Amino acid sequence: MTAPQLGPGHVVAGKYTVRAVLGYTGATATYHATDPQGGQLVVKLFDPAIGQRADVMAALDKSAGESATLAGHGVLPPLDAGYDVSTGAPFRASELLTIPSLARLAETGPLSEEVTGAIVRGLSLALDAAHARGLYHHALKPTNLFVGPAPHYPVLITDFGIRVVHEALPTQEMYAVAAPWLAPEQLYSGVPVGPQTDVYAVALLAFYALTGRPYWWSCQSSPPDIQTWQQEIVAPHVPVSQRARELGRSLNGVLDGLFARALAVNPAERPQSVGELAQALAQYAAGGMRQETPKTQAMSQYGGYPAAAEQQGYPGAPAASYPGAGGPTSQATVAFEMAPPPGGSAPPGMFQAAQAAPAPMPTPGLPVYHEPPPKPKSGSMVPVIIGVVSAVLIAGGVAAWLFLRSPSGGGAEPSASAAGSGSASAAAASAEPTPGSSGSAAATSDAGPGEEKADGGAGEPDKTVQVKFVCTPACDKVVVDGEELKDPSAAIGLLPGKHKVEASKQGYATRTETISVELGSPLEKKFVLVPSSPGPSPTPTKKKCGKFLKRCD
Amino acid sequence: MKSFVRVWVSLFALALAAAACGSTPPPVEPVPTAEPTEEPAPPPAPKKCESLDEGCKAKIGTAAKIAGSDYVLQPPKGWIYARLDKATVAQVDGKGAVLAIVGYEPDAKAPAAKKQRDTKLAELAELVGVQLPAPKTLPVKPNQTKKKGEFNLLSWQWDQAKRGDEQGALLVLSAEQAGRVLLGLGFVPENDSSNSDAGIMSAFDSIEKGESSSGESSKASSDKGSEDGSSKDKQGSSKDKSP
Repeated sequence: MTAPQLGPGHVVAGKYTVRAVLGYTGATATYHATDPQGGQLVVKLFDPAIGQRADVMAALDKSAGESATLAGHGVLPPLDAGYDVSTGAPFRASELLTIPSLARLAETGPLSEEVTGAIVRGLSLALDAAHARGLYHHALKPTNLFVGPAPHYPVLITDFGIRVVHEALPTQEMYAVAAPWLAPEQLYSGVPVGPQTDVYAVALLAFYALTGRPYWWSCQSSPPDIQTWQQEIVAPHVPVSQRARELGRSLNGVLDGLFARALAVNPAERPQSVGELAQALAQYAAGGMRQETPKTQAMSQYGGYPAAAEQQGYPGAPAASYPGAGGPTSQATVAFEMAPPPGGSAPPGMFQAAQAAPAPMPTPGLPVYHEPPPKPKSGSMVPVIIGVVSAVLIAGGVAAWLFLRSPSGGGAEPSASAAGSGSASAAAASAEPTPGSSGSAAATSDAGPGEEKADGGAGEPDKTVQVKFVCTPACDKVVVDGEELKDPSAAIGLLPGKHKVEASKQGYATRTETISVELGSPLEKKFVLVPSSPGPSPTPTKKKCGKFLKRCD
Repeated sequence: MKSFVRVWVSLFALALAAAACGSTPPPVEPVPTAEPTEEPAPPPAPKKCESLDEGCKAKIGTAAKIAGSDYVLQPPKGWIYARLDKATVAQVDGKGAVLAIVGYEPDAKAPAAKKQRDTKLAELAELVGVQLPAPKTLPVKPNQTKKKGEFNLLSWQWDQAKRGDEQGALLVLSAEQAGRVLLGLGFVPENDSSNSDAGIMSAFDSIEKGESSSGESSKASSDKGSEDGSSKDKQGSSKDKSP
């Protein structure tokens, strides 16, 4: 059974007359419809089997209620809901938006960084507010994300709650439509979904906005190659700048680290909120390391999106470009809250959004996105800076020497990352004494005074925690904080704090995770390795050949 | 004197000729006479090609009538074909590549027509032992559309179909015109290296209007020029190439 396929003129629930089909995923069918007063709206019908699932219907109703409370935060709630008696299908009706979707905007080419940044910022306002209420979207895609006009490019998200339908009745059509935007945890059981699942989708949407193409190589054709995609999504990712190059686009390599983190297979490694991702993007932009080919032209046909002065909607939008375009424009733009106008004199867009954003959250592991130090304005400052730095270094050296000479060895707690780096090797050396172990400890002691404590200095209690890594199948190599363990299966001692662990095996995708070690809680960290795919072709011109319609000849 | 000699030579020549003509001819070998022959047997009846057991093997130009329609198509060369009651089928053997096609009158209402198409597809698949991948219904949006003659050709492709133990690609063709649909499927195993998918697409591409015929012969497949030469009937060679 599938969602009802209705022709024009069919009346849903006795009141909504179908005008045209907007989309179909097997479990859902979306129609452009009119109500008895002639009002334009969107009616989404679900597979009648959904109506038989009390749990799914309850979840749908709950999300509809929650999304109604987010109406002013960039979320489009349903206007009506019920059952169509003639088909037995549950339905939801919502406003027909006259603003273009991200898919429509990106059809004509990549969007500029400013527009993309504003979209991500808008998404962060909507999604973080939803996440705070325990409401997750988990089905974001370019066709359910609508973008308002310049200068703020406010966003409207539709289809909150649709994920429960997809989960209840996964169909081939749904995967074909949703594959480019799903996170690994939505495919593989064992990893819970959560706010980071939406963060992942937002990163994929940002890449799509910046390049006009999905990130996954297997999703470049329609329908996507689902089998390859299932492998690609958990295999080591190609840096976004490289993928953009493969697709004939240009993207600054400085974005690689940011996207690598946002697209981490492990949700815990991703930015903890969409706002954090938006903030990182804003930091990137503020650093002046922007791509050299901004493409704002794509917006021009929709009424001059890039132009800050134009705020009156989409005078240039083609009438047939999206449903309802012939009607009154910008109806939807007044229905939700615009992004707060940024302060300062900076141009609108992601840079201002960055200024208006909350205080930056710590982003460990992303040093490249920290704003680079400003260049001296004149050569006369150089000697002064050198002098100050030299004085600080000398003073630091003296302080360190005094610190090391003190009987207690100092009381400062080492930072988790610094301590972890040294302790991993030290602990490994202690677990398996080797002639080189003392050398290793000596080497690490150069990094700072804290390591000396971690080495088990006389009279100090052992503050390390026993951590064991278990790989399935067995790992060839385990690297903790950059240092390879001599025996990947042996337990090691790690200082409390966060540690970066990389587990790898020949023929399998390397797993990288940040683990959190707590004092007094021995840890057994498990890694399930997934066979690595052969990897996408390095040249986009090489087409994968197949049978029938996929033949290459 | 000269005339005397001329007379004697003439007379001598006449005498020689008379002697030669009067001699007994040599005995001649008797010429064997042909045996009396029986009445020639009538040529074997043309195969009806209504069962795959008949083993009608297609060769270039063979036109097989499409069940439920007055259209024909040319099966891939060397394939065994038959016009069964439910569909016209062509295959290499009982497993591997296969095509099946049937004509029917679609329901006027779109939702019912979609359901009807899914039902017909399921019947075709069952007839030739092809397992459709889930959800076993055709998406609304085809993978390819093109117009050919009076037909709109819609094509879908699934890559995870099975026939027997072999997994492979499935092509579904719906050639649609007002009041008539030709629904076909073609299956090719993943490891097929004989270009069967191209053969199936060519077969679908060869669909054309068959000659209108009446009586019992119209039920039979048009076995024109089958490889076993059982019939040279050129039925169905209309020039009206519709799709």
